[in-house]
Amino acid sequence: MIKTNPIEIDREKGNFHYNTDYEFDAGVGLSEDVVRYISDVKSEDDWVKEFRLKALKTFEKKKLPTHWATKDLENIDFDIIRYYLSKGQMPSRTWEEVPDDVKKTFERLGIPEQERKFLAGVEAQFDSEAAYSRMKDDLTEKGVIFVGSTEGLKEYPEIFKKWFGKVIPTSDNKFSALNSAVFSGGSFIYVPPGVKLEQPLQAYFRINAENFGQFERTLIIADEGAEITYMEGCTAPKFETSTLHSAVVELVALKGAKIQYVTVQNWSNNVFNLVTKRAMAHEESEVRWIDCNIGSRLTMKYPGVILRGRKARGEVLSIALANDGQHQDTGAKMVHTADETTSNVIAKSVSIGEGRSTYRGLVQMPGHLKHCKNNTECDALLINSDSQTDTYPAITVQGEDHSVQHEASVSKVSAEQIFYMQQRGLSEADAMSMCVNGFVNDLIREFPMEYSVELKRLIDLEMEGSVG
Amino acid sequence: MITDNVNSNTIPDLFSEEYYENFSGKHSWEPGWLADFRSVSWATLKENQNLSIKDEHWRFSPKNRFAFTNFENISESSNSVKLDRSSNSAECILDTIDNLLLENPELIAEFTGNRGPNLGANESFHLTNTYFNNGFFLKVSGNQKQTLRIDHTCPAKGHVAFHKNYVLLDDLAEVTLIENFDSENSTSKGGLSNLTHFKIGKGAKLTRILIQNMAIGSTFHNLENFDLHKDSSVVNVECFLGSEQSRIETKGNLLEPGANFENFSFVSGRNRQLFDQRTEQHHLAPHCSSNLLSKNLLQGEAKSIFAGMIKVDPEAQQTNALQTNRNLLLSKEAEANSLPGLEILANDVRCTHGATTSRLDQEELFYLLSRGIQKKSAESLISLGFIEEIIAKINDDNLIQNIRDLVCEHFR
Repeated sequence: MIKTNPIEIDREKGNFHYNTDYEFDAGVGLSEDVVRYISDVKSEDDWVKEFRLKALKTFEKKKLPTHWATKDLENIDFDIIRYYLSKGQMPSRTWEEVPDDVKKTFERLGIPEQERKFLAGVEAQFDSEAAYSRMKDDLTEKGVIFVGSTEGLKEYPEIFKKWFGKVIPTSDNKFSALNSAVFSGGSFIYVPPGVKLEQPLQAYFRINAENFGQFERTLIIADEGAEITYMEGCTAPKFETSTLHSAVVELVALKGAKIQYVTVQNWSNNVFNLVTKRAMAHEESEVRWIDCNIGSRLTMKYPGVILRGRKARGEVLSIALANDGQHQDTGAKMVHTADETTSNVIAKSVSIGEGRSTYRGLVQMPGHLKHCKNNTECDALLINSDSQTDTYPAITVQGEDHSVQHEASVSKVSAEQIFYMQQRGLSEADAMSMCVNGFVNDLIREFPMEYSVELKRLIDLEMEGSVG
Repeated sequence: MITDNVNSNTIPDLFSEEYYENFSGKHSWEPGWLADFRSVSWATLKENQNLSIKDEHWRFSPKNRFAFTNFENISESSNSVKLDRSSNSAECILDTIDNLLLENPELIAEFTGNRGPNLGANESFHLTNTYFNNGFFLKVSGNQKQTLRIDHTCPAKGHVAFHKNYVLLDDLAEVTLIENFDSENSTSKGGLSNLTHFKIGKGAKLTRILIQNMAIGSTFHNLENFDLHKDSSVVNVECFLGSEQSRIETKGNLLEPGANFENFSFVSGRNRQLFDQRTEQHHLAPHCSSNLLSKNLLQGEAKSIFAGMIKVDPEAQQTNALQTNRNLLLSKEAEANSLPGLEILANDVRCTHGATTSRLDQEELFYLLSRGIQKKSAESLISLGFIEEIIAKINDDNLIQNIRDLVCEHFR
C-alpha cells in the first residue's frame, strides 16, 4: 500500500545563495595563524587569544568519537574548511543600514516585517558575524544585554568572563574544542535579577559560503528570578561540498531563573551539524531545551542540563525528522548533582525514506542525593521500509531514594488509520502527513506560535512525495 | 571508566606462549581438527589482546574485575560438570565434554566453530575455545519430552575452569534443561567461564533454567548464543545470586519465521557483588517475536549493569519485540546502570523497551511495618514479590521454593 521507492525531495527549497564580497577572510584550513588572525581581526583581549590557542591544541589532541558515533564524521575534511568570513565588524543597528543583498536573504528566510515589530530583538548571523541586530529600547533600559560574542567579551567581561567556557569546558569533546578555538558570532545575553522578558529574543544563523564552517558561541545568563525565551533558526543554501556547523551554547540559570531555548534547525542536506549545548541550573531554576531538527546531513546534538541546585528542573523536548541521506543523532543529558532535582525528556523522531534517526540519552543520579526524579519517553515513527531508527539511552542510578523511568517505542503508521482517512476522501499522502503531524503534535504545541506553524509546513514539505 | 587490563609487565601464565605450548602438549592425543581449532582461537586471542580502544560493550563495567590475569591455572578436574544421568540413545545423547573428548570427539566436530554471543567478552570467548576441557553435549531428537539436570562446579582459588557446551534440539524436540552453577564450598573462589551454543530446530521447544549461586569471591563468565529456527521457541529463565562478579552475555538469533525467544532473569545482589549483563534479541526473519525481562534487586554496595539491544534487520518485518529492565535499590550505595537499546531497520514492527529504577514502595513498607513486621522481613517480602514475576516462569514447585529460600538468605 505504501510505496517504498527512494523519494525525490525538492532540494531547491533551501537554495538561496547570493554572491557576497567578504572584507575579512581567514582563508582555508586551520592553523595557529588562522586562530591568531581571527583574534586580531576582532582585536580581542589577550586572555581570549590564549583561550583560543589552548583550545586549538586540545582540538588537535582529541580523537573523533567514532567508537560510538557514526563513521560519517571521518568524512569531514578540516583542512578545506574556511574558518572565518566577514563583511565587517559592527552589526548594523537599524534595518535600513543592512545591505540590500543581505536583506534579500533575510526576506527569504522569513523574518517578516510584521513579525519584526513584535520581536523583542533579532540578531541574525550571516556566516561568521552578526549582520543586523536590534533590540527594543525598553529592554536596554531594564539592563538586558544582548550582544555578539566579541562585543560581549570585550565590553562586559565582568559579566560574561565568569561563566564563559565554564558550563562546557573546552575539552568536553573535539568539536567544542574546535569551536573554542575559532568561535565568532553568536549571542551573549544577560538578564538582570527579576527581569522577565515577555517577548522571546531571536537569532537566525545562516551559512552562505561554500566550505564554510560556522562556529557561533552563545552564552545566556539569567540572573536570580529572571525569565527569558530565546529562539534560534538555522538555514544554509545547497552547496556541492559539505559544510560544518559547530556551535557551543552555554546557559546559566541562577537561583529561581527560567530559561527556555528554542531551536529550529533546517540546514541543507550537506551540513554537518555538531553542536554542544548545556545548561547549568541553580537552585529552584528551570531550563527547557526545545529542539527541532529537520535539515542537515548529520546532526549530533544532545542538549544537557546539569542540575546543581536544590529543586532545579531540566527539560528537553525534541523532534527529529530524518529524510533520505540524513542522520539525526539527537538526545538529552540530565546530570543530577543536587537534592530534589527533577528532569523530563520527551523525544519524538520520524524516519522517512532511507533516513535514520537516533536517540542517545544520559541520566545520572549519585547515591548521596535525595529525591531525584527523571522521566524519559522516546517514540519513533518509521514511514518507509528502508527507514531506520536507533535508541541508546544510558541510565546510572545509585541509592535508594530516586526514581527513574525510561520508555521507548517504535512503530509505523497503522494501515487502519490511513485506510480510515482515505475512505473519507483524503489522498494517501495527505493521510500520512496528517498522521505524522498528529504524532508530533503534542510537542509542536510547546513551540511558540510562529514556529509551530512553520514547523507544520516544514513537515508537510518533507513528507511530500514520500508516499503514494 | 574502562581500564585496560593487559599490562605487558605482568603477562600471566594463561596468556603466555609457554602455558599454551604446555597445554597443547598435554592434549596432543586430541584429534587434529581440535588442535587446529584451539590454535586458531589462540591466534585470534593474541591478535586482539592489545586492543585498548574504548568499547561500548564494556561501558560502566570495571573490566579489571573480570580479568583472567587473576587466575594462575586451569582447573583440570573432570568433576566440574555432573549430569543426573548420561544417555547415549538414538533419541538423546547427553555426556560431559571431558568424556566425549576421550571416547567420541567426532560428535562435536561439526559444531565446534559455532559462533558465540559476541557482545564484548571476546577474551573469555577465545580463551574458552582455546582451553576448554569440560562442559556438556546434549542432542535430542524425536518429540519425547525430557527434563535434564546439569551441575557445574566452580574450582578453588587461583583456578579457572573453561566449559564449552552444546545444546542441539532437532526438529520438534521438547526439552527442559536445568543448569546449576555452584562452588564446592564457600572457599572455592576461582573462576568459571561457560560458553554455550544452542541450536533449536524447527518447531522445537526449550525451557532452560539457570541458577547461579557460586561462592562470594568467585568470578562467573557466562556466554550463550541461541539460534532459533522456524517456529521454534525458547524460554530462558536465569537466576543470579552468587559470585563476586558475573559477566553474562545472552543472544537470541531469530533466524527463521515464527520463532519466539523469551528471556527472563533476576539478580539478587548484596555486599560488593557485580552483575554485568548484556543481551541482544536479533531479528533476522519476519513474523518472529521476542520478549526480555531483567530484574535487579540490589543491596549493600552491589552494582548491576543491564545492556540490552533489540536489533531488527530490514527483512524482519512484522516483528514484535519487547525489552524491560526493572531495578530495585535497597541501599544508598547500590548502583544500577541501564543501557536499553533499539536498532530498527524494518518499518512494520512493534518494538518497545522500558527501564525503571526506584526504591521500595514506601507505602507498602509502611503497611507491613504498621502490622508489626520487622523491617528486614518486610523488605525481603516485598523483594520476593518483585522477583516473583521471574520465578513464576519456572514450572517446578521444589525449584521455586529453593530459589525463594536462597533469596531470603540474602536478607539475613
